[in-house]
Amino acid sequence: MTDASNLDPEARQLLKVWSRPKGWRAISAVNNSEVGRWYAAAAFIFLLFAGVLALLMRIQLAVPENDFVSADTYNQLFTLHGSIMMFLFAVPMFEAISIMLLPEMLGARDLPFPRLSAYGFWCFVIGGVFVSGSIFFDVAPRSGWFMYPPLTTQQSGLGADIWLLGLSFIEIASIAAAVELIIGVLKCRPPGMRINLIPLYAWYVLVVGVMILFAFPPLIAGDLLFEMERAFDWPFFDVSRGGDPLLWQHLFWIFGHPEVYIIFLPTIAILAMVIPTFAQREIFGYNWIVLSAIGTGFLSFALWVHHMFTVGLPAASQGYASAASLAVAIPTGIQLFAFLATLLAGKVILRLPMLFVFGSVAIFVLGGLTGIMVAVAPFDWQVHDTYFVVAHLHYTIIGGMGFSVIAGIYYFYPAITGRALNERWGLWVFWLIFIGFNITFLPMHLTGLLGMPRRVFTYLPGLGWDWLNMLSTVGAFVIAAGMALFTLDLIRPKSRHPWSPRNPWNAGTLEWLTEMPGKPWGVRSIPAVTTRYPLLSQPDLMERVDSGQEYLPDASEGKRETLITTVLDARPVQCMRVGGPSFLSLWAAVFTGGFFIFATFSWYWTAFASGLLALASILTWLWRGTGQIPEKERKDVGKGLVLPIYASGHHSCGWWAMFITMFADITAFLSLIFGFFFYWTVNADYPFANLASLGLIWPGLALAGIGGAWLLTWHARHALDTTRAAGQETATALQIGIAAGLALFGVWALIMGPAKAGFDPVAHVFPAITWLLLGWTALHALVGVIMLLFCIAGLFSGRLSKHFTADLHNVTLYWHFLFFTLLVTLLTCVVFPRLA
Amino acid sequence: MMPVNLMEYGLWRLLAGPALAALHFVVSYGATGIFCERSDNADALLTLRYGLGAFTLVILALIALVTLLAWQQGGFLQKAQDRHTEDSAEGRHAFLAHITVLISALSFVGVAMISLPILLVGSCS
Repeated sequence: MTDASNLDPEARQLLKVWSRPKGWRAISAVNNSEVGRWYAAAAFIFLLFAGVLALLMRIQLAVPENDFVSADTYNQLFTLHGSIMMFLFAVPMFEAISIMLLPEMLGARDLPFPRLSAYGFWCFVIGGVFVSGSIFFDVAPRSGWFMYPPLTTQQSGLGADIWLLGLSFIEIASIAAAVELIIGVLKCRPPGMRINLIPLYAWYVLVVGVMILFAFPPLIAGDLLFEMERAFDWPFFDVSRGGDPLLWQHLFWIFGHPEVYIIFLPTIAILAMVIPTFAQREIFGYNWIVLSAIGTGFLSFALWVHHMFTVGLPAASQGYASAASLAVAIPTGIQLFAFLATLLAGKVILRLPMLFVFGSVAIFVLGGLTGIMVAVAPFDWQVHDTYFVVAHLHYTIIGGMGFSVIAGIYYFYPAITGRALNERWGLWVFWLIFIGFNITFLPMHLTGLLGMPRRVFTYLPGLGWDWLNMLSTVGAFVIAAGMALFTLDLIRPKSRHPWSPRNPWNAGTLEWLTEMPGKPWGVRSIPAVTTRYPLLSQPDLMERVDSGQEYLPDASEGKRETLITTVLDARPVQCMRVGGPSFLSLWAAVFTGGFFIFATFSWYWTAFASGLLALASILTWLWRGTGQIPEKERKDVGKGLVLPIYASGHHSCGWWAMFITMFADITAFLSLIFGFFFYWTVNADYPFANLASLGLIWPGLALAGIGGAWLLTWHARHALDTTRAAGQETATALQIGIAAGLALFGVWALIMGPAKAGFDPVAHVFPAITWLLLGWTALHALVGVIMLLFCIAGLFSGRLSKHFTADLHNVTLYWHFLFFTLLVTLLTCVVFPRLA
Repeated sequence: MMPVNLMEYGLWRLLAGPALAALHFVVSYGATGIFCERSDNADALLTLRYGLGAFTLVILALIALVTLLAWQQGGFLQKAQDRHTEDSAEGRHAFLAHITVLISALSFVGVAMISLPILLVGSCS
């Protein structure tokens, strides 16, 4: 691994601080390079597994009236294939690559919350194994990756629950990664890397991170409604009791379509890193590519209805989605033209990664063109649910994502492992996959136009589909051969292979500072950056970094540290301490997993106990691993710069993490509010005069209790910040204690409203959604109370004081969001029914 | 409390165009859904079309204003564009102004395209 003998004492100490835990303790590692590698390996294994499922489907469809698998098994195969590819490969692969490479591109030692990355990874693995493994027990989900009700709400068996709970759990990992990556891009850049100088990959990560905050929460809200119906018969999607299955479709596709861009943009970002290197010039149209990333990101949220063209929505509503689907071609096209212009203007060296880049662009453009076709509603009516759509989506996703990820793996492999993959094998891999892909999916356009529907487990002979299906099956095995060769190249032992030369492609961005083999510290010292391609245009940068002449060359206090800089101009403002190896994130993930997995089997008490253990692990992790009081206020980080170690309020990364997490939380909440009003549009007599009202007294008391707690918390924080008096901590603890009491009273009042009014959530969707919104708010208030108690404990133990206020700042921020939630809930559930 | 370093010219203003476009989409989509579910008759639809048409014009005007302001701040001048790769506050400023012009222009086109159906489609069904 790493040889410390020829290092100077300063570097040896740095290496010791960042060294990986040995033996079985290796699983307690949290460093971005380890977690990123595990993440990527796990996502790749899920890819192979889903690929095998696809081969089984292709064998079944090779000839008409085949009985290789039963209809029921086939249903499980296609449901898991889609779900695994989307949830366990495509999105996690983005997270994996970003966790692995983003800090390197930014010259950071690590991301700001390494333990959060580890927690996300373990959640992903546990949930992924649970969902994937279900097929071996014949209980896998079996109704398509989008789980449309009423089929799925009325289906017996565990399949739908496994999908809903298993994947909800994995969505937590995605949001955790989004928090980590957004803050990584905004706050962990090297000094001088202003926002106009950041690598394009980081721009894409930022856009995709924000997209995750808007896209995943609606699905989590939908999952919640769905599971409440399956487990407790609350009629959210049951038409006979005022529900509507279309609400699920809306929530699912508000997630589902941006999801396509969430997996597409980061891989396009890989192209934006690979192309300039091999074109031997800087990227053409940097600003236009940034425009494309942001533009595609926001337009992609207006497209979801194009998945619902056949459900009978108003013509104008279909028109909006159609227009938006065409409009998104503008930014998508711009970035591709910028890439082509870079290639035309540069002197291209044709190496293996470039071959995959060309493959990616060619196939993606074909998929984009059929996308324009299906964006036109009348055409879509003809091909909806046929193999034409299967062909279209595979061209976009495998073209846009598959080929670019492989390009990225060949390109970045030396930076990740220190050794290169075999380019001669790689040529075979490319041609097998490229040719196999087109043999498989090009004929599917025709199969679809000839009328073959998706998701049928067999078909009759003589419909003109026979030879096309056989061709697709043959092609699938050609792809499999290519993937097998690629996998073999990845996993074969390479200890006898020479180390790759440093910066083997002569690239300009900071990830190529990595030594061969890499050291766990990321970079020896953190460079000051003044250009977009510092390795090419800042001549002696590598030497200066290696000899520790740049920032933060040491870890003299024995702590893991990285630099925090400002958002726009990357001025260094803090030397932040980050978490080291710990089993806490693993335990927290295991218990969080237990909560979701036990709930699948309706073992609610066990699930509840597991949830409590998860809470205890997370609190221990926060107590012992975050907001630690440093032994000194400031640290000399080199080059004459002295920075504070502790930060609170909006100067701290923790505050930003809370802000971003709560942003996602509010999106989920607003999705539920959307549900409330959606029921209003589809039910003429909603919200139902024959139901008793909540009244004003209980909601009023809830507002007083929780609102009072909010004001008191806010005041306590302000007082602690501004006071000069000694002993303010005791007064603050008292105020927070009263706030917690008030909040508990508010929670009680919130629940008493519908309980006293006799709201029966099973009877009709109106009482059900009312209970759900009030319950959501009450649960958030309880979490708020736990946070307040945490602060009280902090005040008594000394981790929270007038000098060190980060915890209270973060908790107050949570309470601001909580009060907003309460206010909107009350306006919706109490005021609106009186007006409607 | 707002994050101070974002209050400078930059990220928030960059998002103004997309935010206006998003508002336009939500209002157009929501209003159409409610009108068509609740009262599917020609008069109601006419009201909707006039209402949304006027709303679209307001949104387009606002986006144009955002674009113009960014343009005036040096968003599209060649002299300013040459500074985009500069390691200076001015370079960063010119860069963000340019991105704002681009993203607002795209928002303008997006709003114009998305408003076409309601102006052209004459019935709910």
